[in-house]
Amino acid sequence: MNDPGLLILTSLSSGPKHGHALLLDIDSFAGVRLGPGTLYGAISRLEERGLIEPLAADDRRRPYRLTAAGTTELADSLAAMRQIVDTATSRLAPVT
Amino acid sequence: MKLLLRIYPRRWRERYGDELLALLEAEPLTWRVRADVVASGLRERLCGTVPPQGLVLWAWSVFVIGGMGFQKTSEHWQVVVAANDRAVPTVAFDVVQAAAAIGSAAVLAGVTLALPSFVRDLRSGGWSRLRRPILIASATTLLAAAALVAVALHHDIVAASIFVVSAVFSLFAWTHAAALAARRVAKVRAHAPLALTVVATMIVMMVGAAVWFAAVNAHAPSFVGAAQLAVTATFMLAGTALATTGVRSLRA
Repeated sequence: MNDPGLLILTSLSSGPKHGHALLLDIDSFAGVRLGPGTLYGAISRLEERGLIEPLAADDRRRPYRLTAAGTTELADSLAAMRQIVDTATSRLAPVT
Repeated sequence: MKLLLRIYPRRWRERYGDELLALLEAEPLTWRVRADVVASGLRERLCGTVPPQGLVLWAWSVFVIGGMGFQKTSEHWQVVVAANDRAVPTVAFDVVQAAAAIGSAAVLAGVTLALPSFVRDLRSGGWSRLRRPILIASATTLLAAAALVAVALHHDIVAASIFVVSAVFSLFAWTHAAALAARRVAKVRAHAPLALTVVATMIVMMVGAAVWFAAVNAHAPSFVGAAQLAVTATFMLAGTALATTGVRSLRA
């Protein structure tokens, strides 16, 4: 649940963001403070896979946005996670 | 801060350096942040120049050095441990050997699966890129073989030292050539589970070696030297860390 790539895709699903905005947003919704190196390592890999794309730079800060492939990847990951959550919830129900 | 960025490969720095620098200027530069940038930079440098399959090959070679250290350290251990106390170290030693056999088989299987793509690359001009590293590897292998013959004939300490150094160099030279070849080898689906098997066997070997050491040390405290132990553990840990990075890249 704290995979940097998935956290970035989730953050960008609400609109384009640059590095610092991504860090703050991920911290606010997931309670995870990614390191700057980890963040940009994940950004470079997501961009390489065509899941996000850069927009025009504002000074040295460059915003990124989800691509169509990134949206599909995020939806697939969430569906897989939902299945796990549903399974765990139904299995825990008799216990609690 | 710019010094920190030097850890990253130049191409990566040219693309993301300014953005990362801007982010570092906006964040408190704690030791945790510094460590994160250093670790990420090393990872980019490693993964940017060596493909994941190459990383696993390098990991195996580095681990083999640790394994050789363990093999040498454990020579004649039965002499210093009484027969009644040999059960635990014997089992631990056998587990290390079994895991080594499984890990080697996984590496060989990975190499075999990559062979068709490798041969295709050789036929389409790949030999020119590999000729030099293969010649160097062959030369170091010949040197190691000659030194081994000298050791067998004369039991000479100088020849033995030359053999050890050239054998290690030869192993690394062949690994370098194989990692270069792996750059152009097509991705094979089975490589990810095979690499995971390699990591698992490395962890089993480290645990087995640790149990063996603890058991032998309990009965013969001076049998294993601290330096031998440190070198063996360092190579084993480094190999496992490299292999884990390779697995993560293969599964990404």
